[in-house]
Amino acid sequence: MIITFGLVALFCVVVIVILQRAHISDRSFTDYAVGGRSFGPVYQAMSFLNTWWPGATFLSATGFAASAGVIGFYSAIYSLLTVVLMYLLAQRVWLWGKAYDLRTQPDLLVLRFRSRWLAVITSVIGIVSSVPWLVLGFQSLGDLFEQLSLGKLGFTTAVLIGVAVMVIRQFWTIRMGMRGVIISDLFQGIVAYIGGTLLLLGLVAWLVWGKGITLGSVSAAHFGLPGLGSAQGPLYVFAILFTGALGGWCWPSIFIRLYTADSVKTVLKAGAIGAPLSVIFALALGVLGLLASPLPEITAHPDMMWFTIAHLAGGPVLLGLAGVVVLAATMGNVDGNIQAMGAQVSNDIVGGFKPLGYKSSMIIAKVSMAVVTVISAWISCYHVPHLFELAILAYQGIIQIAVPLYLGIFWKRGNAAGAITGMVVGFIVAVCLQLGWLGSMTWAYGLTSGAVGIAVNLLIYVAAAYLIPMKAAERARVNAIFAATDGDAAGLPVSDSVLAGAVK
Amino acid sequence: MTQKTVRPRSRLVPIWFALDAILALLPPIHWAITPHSPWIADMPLGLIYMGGLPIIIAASIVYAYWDDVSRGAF
Repeated sequence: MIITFGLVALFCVVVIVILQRAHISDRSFTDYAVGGRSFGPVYQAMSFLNTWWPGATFLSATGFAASAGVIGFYSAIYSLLTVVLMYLLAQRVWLWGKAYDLRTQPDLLVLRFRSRWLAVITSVIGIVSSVPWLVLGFQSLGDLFEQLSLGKLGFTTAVLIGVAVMVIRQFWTIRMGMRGVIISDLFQGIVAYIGGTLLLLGLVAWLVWGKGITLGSVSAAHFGLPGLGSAQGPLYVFAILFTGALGGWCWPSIFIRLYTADSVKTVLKAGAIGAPLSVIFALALGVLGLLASPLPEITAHPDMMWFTIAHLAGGPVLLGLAGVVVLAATMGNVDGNIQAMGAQVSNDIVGGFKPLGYKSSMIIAKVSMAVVTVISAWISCYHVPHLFELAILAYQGIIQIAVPLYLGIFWKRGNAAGAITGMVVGFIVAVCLQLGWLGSMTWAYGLTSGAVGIAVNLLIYVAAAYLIPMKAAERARVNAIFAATDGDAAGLPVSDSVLAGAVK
Repeated sequence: MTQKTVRPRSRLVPIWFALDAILALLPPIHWAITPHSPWIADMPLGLIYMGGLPIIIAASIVYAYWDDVSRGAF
């Protein structure tokens, strides 16, 4: 226990030293919310990875592959499709962000649709949907500390320790805002995804050469996908990949990454750096899960296989290192979520109704982050029935933002009425279907509740785009903001220095 | 002052991105992956598909960036 907890303590000390040494006073709310749009590709790549892959991935992805087989690799596929989407939307989103000082996803929707209510609704959906995932993140640290204690701590005590560690860590998130999140993401990202991948590959090698397990040892059922005649339905794999890919940029903490880069080139280069790292990391998780599936120690508790295998292969030292990489990944994810929520409360909810100065914006953001931290920490200490189902429900809801977000970026038609109605109706449809059928909608051929909601949402958005005439002045305004990103900056607040960050 | 000439983005980039989406999302491809699918070069088809596709998608992203750099887009 001294070895495992000692390694975790050492990691926490290094993170705190890095944050203490990196402190720079912010000069504006843009500095606080998006780090002054000053970060280069390596910081961007690590920051994206650290927000995208939470610590629970080490447990859930390996456990899913161990119990269900190659379908467990689906997160690798949709994660990469999300980066492809990033490649397509980076130019317009970054340029609009720089030219109009946008800091959040709802900010972009206000620019595009000129509706403050759309921003408020989007913000509320984003924040409410993020809380269950934040609570799950806190609780996954309970699993972490329970395993690291080698059975000496009960789950409740372990959760309390995990919550305490994360609450203390949030002091620097609140104090330093996005700059603190990204600077620490670099170190946490290296530990979690480079160190974590090396550990994964080592464990795979141990299973192959130490335990003699090969692909031939794995059950043939693990190599099929749910298809025609399956319990999940024939469109199930399509639905989880489609909603997973679209949903990526709907998360406030992910979208805000597009505004922290110092240029479009940086966003694209970060994608080119992050994509191969994501592939190796995600495939290693899946392969470890598959190869460990024949072990009897794994069959009983596949979700704990990450810790079980590490302990079997390398004793307390490797178990401690496995714990450190989970903690590093969890920190990045929790910090990013809390920071994005604070920025949205200040910028889009309170700031949407009352113009705020620099000081007021900062105070509201910091207080919101503290409140979100305390509420999530408090909920985490209790056994919440159906928390995971609630998190799945939240996901089906948040992806409804995808329709106004992507169509708003790529299509000049569309209006606020269609965007708000479509998103709200899509959200209600998704929630009702999820609650009514508990995710098992056999009549929908495997489509998830969120996918059905998106179809309704899209229909409403497109119908409103064609049925509600666009006023000439609004059409001219929308044409102008689109023209700015196509290299025609006439009459817009787009300086040469802004366009210098563009892709030609 | 002379303007830097920039070549248009390679046609392969949008084609490859579209192919990524088709390969990932087309249900008949998913239906073809069953526990009885053949093994190719000692690898089960399910693993080749679910493990190979992320590599193909990542390669398309790296290629797109490389193309942007080499055509002088930045």
